[in-house]
Amino acid sequence: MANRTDIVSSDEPVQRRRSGALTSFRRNLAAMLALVFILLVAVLAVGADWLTPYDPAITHSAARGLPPMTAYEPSDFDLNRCHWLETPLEPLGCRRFLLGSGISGADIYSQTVYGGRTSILVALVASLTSLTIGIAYGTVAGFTGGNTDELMMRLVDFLYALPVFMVALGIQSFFQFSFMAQEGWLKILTEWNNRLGGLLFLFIAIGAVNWVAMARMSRALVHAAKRTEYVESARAVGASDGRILMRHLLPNVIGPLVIVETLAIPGYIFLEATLSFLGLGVGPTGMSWGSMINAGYSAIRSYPHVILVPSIALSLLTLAFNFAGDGLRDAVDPRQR
Amino acid sequence: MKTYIARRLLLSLPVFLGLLLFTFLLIRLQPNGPFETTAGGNPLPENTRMALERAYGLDRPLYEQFGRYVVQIMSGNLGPMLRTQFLTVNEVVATTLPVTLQLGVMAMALGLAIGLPAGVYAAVHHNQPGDYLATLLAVIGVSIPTLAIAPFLVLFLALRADWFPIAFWGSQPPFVLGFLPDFSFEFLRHAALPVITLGIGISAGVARLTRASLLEQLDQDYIRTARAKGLVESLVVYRHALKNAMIPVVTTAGTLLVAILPGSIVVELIFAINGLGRNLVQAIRSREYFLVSSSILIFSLIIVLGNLAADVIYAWLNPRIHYGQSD
Repeated sequence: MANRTDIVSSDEPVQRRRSGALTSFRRNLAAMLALVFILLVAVLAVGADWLTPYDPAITHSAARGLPPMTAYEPSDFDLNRCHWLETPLEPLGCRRFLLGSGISGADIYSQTVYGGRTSILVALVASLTSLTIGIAYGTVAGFTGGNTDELMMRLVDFLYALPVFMVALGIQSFFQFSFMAQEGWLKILTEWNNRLGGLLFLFIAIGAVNWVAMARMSRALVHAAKRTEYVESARAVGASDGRILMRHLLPNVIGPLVIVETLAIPGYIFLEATLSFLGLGVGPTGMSWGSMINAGYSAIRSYPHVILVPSIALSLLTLAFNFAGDGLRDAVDPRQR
Repeated sequence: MKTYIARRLLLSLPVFLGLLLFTFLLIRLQPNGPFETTAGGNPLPENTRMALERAYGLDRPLYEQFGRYVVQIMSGNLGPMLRTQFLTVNEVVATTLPVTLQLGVMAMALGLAIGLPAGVYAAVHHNQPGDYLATLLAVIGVSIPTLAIAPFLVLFLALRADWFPIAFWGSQPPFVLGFLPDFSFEFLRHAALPVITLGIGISAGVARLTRASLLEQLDQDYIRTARAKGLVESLVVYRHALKNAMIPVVTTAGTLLVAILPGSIVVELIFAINGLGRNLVQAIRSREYFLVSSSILIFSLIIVLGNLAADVIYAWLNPRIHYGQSD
C-alpha cells in the first residue's frame, strides 16, 4: 500500500492565500457557472415543496408520457392536487407538464426536483460524515502515534482494501430486505428510514465506506504537522494536547482535506444514483434520478424524455461538482493547473 | 520481487476472509431467506421450507455454516444454486464471468486507445486550443456517469440510427478456450455500445492522468538537458518523458479497474448482458446466498489482483523502486 500516490503532498506547509484564492476562483468562469448551477439545484432542493406543482408520487392517469411543455386539460381531481393552484404559476405548472409526464403520468419536473433533493442531501451528508469521522479518526491516530496509531491504521488499511461499491451494495441489500422487519432494532431503523424517504439506510451505507480514505489522509497530514516548529513552540509555552490539536493542528490540515472531499462529491452522487438504479438505493418512498432512469428505460423508444431528463440532470450536477471542485483546487493550489 | 508478490497476496487473505464473513453475515441475518416463496411468488409451506433448508445445510448454526463454506471455497467449490435445481455457482460463474471480463477488458482497451494519445496530445500542445478542447472533453467524460451515458447512446445510435443492436452480448458460451469471444462482425456490433458506454469514462480518466503526468515530466531538468543536447522534440517526448509519465498512469490503472466495476454492472443490466454483475444483482434479489458471496469475492479478487499487477508494473517501469527490502 506504500505506493498509492497521495493527492496532497504532506511535506509542505499549508499556505494561506485566501484572498488570492477567492479572486482566482471568481475568475474561473467554468467553476463560477458550476457553482451557480449547484446553488440552483440546492435552492430547488430546499424549497421543493413550494417550487413544484405536484407531489412527485401523484400520477395523472389521463396524461401518460406527455412530451415536455404539452398543455393538457386536467380534471378537477387533478387540479385540486396542484400546489400552484390560484397562483400566477397555475397555467405553467397545473395545466401543462414543464418537463413532460412519466409513463404512469407523474410530473417529471416535480420528480426531478425531488430527485435533486436526494442527490444534494447525499452529497452534503456523505461528505460531512466522511469529513467528521475521517478527520476525527485520522487526527487521533496521527496525534497519538505509537501503538495506538499502528493499530488504528491497520484497521483502516483493512477497510481501505475492501471495494467501496461492493460494501455499499452489501449493506443496502441487507437493509432493502429488512423493510418488512416486524420487531427489534431493525423495525425502529426502518421506521426512521421511511420517515426520511428511504434516505437513512443510504446514508449509513455511503457513510460507512467513505470515511476511510479521509482518515488515511488526515492521519498523514497530522503526523507530518506534529513535528513542525509551530507545534513545538506551542508545546514549549505549555499548551495542552487538546489545545494544540484544536487550535493549531486542525486549522492547518483541514483546508486540503476539504478540497479533496469536494472532489469526492461526484462519486457520492454517482454511487447513490447507481444503487437506486439497481433498486438498492432510496426505498420505495424515495425519489432519485437513478430510479427515474431505471423506470424510464422500459419506454425509452416511445417516451425518451422520461429517461433523458434525469440523465441530463444527473450529468449536469456531477459535472458541476467536478468543475467547482477543480476550480477550488486550482484556486488554492495553482501548481496543479 | 517474488517475495513481494507472495507477501502481498498473503496480506490480502484477511481482506478476503473479512469480506467473506461480512457478505455472509449481511445476507444471512436478513429476515427472509431464499425459500419463502415459490418461483411464482406464492408462500411455500412451512415443512417444505424446512426440508429445503435442511437439504442445503441452512438450518445449522451460523458459525458452522460459515466454517463449512470457507472450507468448501478452499476446495474450489463455490456452492449450489438454491432456487435452480441441478445448477452450481461454479457453472454460473463459468458462463458469466468470461462475459464480464470480455466487457471490462475491451472497455479498458478502448479507454487506453483513446485516452493515452489524447493525453499526450494535450500535454504536448499545452495551453493551446487543442489542449483546452481535450481537457474540457475529458472533464465531461469523467463527470458523466455510465448510467446517464447509456440512454443517450441507446436512443440515438441504436434506436434512431439503428446502427447497433440495443441489447445482448454477441458471444455465447462455450467460449474459445473458455473465456475468449469469437471476434465475428456480429459480436463486435453487439459489443460496440456497451464497450463505448463503459470506455468513455476510462478514456477521459486516462487522458487527464496522462496529460497531468506528462506535463510534470516535461518540466523536469532531464528534459531540459535532453533538449539542450539537441534531441528531436519527438524523441524527447516519447523516449524520455513518456516512459516516466506512464508511472502514475499505470499505478492508477488498478484504481480505474475498481472505478469501472459499478459501471459494468449497470451496463450489463441496461444491455441485458448475461454477465456476473447482472447475476449478482439478481442473486441479491432472489437470495441466492452462495452466488452473492461468491461473486462479491470474485469481484474483490479481480480488484486486489489488478492493484497488485499495477504495483508490479510500477516497479518494472521505475527501476528506483525496490520492493522487499524497505516496503
